[in-house]
Amino acid sequence: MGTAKLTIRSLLRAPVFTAVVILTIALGVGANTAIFTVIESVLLKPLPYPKPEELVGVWHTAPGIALKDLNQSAANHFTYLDENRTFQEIGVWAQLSASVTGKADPEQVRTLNVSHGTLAAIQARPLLGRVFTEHDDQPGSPRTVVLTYGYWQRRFGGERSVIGRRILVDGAAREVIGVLPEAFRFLDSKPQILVPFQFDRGKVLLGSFSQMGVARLKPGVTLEQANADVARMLPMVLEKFPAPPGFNAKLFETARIGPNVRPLEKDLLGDVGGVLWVLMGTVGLVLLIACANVANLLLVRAEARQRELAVRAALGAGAQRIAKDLLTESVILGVAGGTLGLGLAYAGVKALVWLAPAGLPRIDEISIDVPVILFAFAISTLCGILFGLIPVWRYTGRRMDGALRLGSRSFSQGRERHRVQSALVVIQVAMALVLVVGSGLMLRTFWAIQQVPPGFTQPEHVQTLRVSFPEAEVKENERVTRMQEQMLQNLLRIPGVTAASLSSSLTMSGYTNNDLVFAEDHTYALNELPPIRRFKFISPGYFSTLGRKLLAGRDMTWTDVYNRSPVGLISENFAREYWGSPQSAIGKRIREGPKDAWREIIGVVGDERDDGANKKAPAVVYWPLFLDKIFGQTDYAARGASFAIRTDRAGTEGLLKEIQQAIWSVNRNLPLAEVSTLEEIYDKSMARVSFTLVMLGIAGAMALLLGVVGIYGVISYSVTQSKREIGIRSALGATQGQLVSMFVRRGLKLAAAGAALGLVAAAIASRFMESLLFEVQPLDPLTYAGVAGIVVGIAALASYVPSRQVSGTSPLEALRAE
Amino acid sequence: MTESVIQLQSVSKIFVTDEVETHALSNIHLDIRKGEYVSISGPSGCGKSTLLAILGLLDSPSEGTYVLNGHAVHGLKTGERARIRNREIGFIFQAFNLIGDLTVYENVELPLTYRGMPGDERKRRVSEALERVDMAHRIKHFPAQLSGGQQQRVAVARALAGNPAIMLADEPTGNLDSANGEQVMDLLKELHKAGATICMVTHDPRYAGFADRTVHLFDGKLVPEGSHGNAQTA
Repeated sequence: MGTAKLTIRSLLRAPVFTAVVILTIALGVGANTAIFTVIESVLLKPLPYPKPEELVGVWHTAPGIALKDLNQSAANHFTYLDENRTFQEIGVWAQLSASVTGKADPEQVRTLNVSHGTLAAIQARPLLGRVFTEHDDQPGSPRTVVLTYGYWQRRFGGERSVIGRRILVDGAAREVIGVLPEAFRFLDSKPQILVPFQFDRGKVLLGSFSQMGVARLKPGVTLEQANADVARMLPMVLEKFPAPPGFNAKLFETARIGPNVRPLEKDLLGDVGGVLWVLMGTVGLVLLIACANVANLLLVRAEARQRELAVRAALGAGAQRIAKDLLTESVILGVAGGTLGLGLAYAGVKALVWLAPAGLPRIDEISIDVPVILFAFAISTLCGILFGLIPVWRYTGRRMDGALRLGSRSFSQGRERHRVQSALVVIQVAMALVLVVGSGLMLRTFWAIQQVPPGFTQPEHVQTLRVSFPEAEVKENERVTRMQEQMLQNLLRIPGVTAASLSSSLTMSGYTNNDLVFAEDHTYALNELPPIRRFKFISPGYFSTLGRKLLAGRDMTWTDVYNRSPVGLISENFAREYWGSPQSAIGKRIREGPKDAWREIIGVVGDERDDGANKKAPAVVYWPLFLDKIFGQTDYAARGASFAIRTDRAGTEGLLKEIQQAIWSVNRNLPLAEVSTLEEIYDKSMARVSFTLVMLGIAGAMALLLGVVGIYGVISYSVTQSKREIGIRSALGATQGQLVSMFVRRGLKLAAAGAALGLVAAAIASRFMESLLFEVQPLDPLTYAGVAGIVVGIAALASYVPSRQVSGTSPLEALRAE
Repeated sequence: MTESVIQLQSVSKIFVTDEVETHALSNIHLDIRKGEYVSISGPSGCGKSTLLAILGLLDSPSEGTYVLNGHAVHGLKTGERARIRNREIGFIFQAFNLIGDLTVYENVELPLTYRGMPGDERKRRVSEALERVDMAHRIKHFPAQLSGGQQQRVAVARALAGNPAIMLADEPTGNLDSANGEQVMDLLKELHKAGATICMVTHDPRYAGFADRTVHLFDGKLVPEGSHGNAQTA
């Protein structure tokens, strides 16, 4: 009969042992396979384009204005398009939104605005019609649009006759020239329609780095060569294009713009790799703990089989043969556990995708595929060999005559017998402690973030939504502002609404607008650029709606807005940076460009964590909704407006209907988009932290559970095996309390050794988490002490329970035990 | 007249398994006086070990009374029985029953630690006991490093160290060859001469003869002295 068949039969005779081992491995392999699935799909799979290694993101650095990542401008794009020697194709793109009207209700859709080189670089092919050509990019060319597959299906029912039809995008008619295939992906953008940029070369100025650059390298060109090429072209940009009014080209030289061409996948992945690799390391430790548990179980089983092994040896089985039998058993268990683990991973991946933070790239590409299945079976087999080697090392090649004479012992079991099991438990506790410290640090991070005032209060009572006012719909800027005020007045009349206001960008909403800010009382060296500040355009009452304190001065009024008064408010951090205190900033004057009008600071408000609660609050300037002489324009209105409505009814369907009515009563063609409560926006910004916390928490709990099971198992086994010793001690007068405390001390010694080892390991491992932490040091003493205390406490309990059970047996019975 | 260390009155032990009652001991009366050396003998299964377990408070009688050193002990709770075992009784087992994890010194010291005895006093007593059994030179050895005879001498030292009211020896030579067996019996005899009270279970008539008095058990009952064919006194 084959070894495998015999082994399976033998395992089936010990169903509890077999089930526990398989389940333990399945948990470890399942967790690892689930996380590996995400890593493989997100990080390891090449981008879904032909020759993805040739694709690059065209970025810059600007150390002169402290920017590590400066994106692409139209001036740079045209220069590179004309002068480069290293790119096959080069394009610019941006994710924007637009309203589509004229068919059913107006709808705000996500757009991908591109130059034709973008789709050419990724070699996108249409399903129907064509994609953009150079002609579509020319100003004055007929306006065109390309639909994505999903939008085509949803809005046009997949009609092939859609090509040539016109749709109103931001009030302007565009001809549908193509439909992209279902498999079309552009990084992590999820556009519904694509529209071409139509830059007018004659009007392009230096600066305004508001697009992203993408390019395909010529075959054989390296990143170094591409960067050298961009470095060569950068001075040409300053020669080819004029500076905006009030600036000169020398000012741009002080920014010291340099090349930063990098693999396109970095644009897609960002820093998500850090979180995923930390999670992979975490579940890897869980698997090792599971292996240690299984190794312990196998040791017990091998010990119980010692007589059988001795008989086999006596009958002529060599060490190799016995090792083969033991390893066959462990590998069969490993593979069985791996198979079940793969099933758990399938469910785990579904849960992960559901739990995954907003912004986890390629989330729709996450799936279990052949490499994942191979990974699961590789780690299962490896684990089978790993935990099988310990009993092999322990029980093969040893003298077996002793095993055949068991039962004639004249003293209780020696310490040698438990040494390997104890060592495994120490390692388990150490690894569990590392993971629980990781969870603890994330918990402290989460708590610390929640203590940070985000720039608003009671966000669950603030309903938000965004409305765009395209020029095709509302031509004059002042008319935009008057409509916005009218909408706010209507909103304030809704029952239960206590405040309503709007801003070009709500806190944490992701709409950012940054520019230079000069202060009148600050002198700047020749060609020195002041720091970039965040700009927001707000209506009166914005701060009171959000619940943010006015620290000095006053809020703006509608009179300020309509008079286009040269006023603004700033955030506290900006005031302190330049003038030392909020009060000192009042009355000071600032402006956006050297030629713009000076504007007086009339108020200072508390900081807002605009980039997320765990990110530094940016210095913000709040301008009125409507103002003149800014960005080189005569006047300016915030055409993208996020409304904030404070009411206890936030999030209810009834309220949304009334809000829609309030806005559409002013203009029926303006779609409502991004409807959510402020709390949802906050939660979304916390999603990555929450995800990491939940994942590390699950891993930590699993590790702790497995570690506790390990300690329980070893102490329980040790107590059972020490039954005779218990009898002897009991006969000599030991009370039950003394016996229990002896075994608890034994468990505590193991736990303490594991905790000491684990604390050192955690101190090393936590360095890898540093980027995930917020206001918590990787060596946070409270976390380390707390976790060590918890682990040792649980270990004491895990030792107490079995000790209590067995040490209560009659000494006479215990003395008879073998 | 010397005082009684052990007084058993009408002691019976009944084991009930699967509704079957087994009378292991029936109506036992036994009196062991201070300084006496008593051996209990009888064929295998006659109840010797059960009797010794009851005498050692490892088991309790189903019926009857047991007075140890003037105190009734048959109805005590587990904790109290442990305390009395520790202070009044010294055990010597057939299988020595040393603890493999502990050195010779620690094995002998063990019952004294349960008593909460101060360290200095423990050290003195352990040293004295090991010297009496001629094992003082092996204090750092583990049981596995000793011969059977040496292990049993350590077990005797352990029983002695606590200065018990009585030493209970259960087939102390059962796991030894005859030379080592003789040595252990000589040691017990020396201890008895020095004043120790000993109660020994043995099925070997040669060693039963070392005792002052031999009590015979048969089918769980004491056989009246004189009705037994073998020598009953040393």
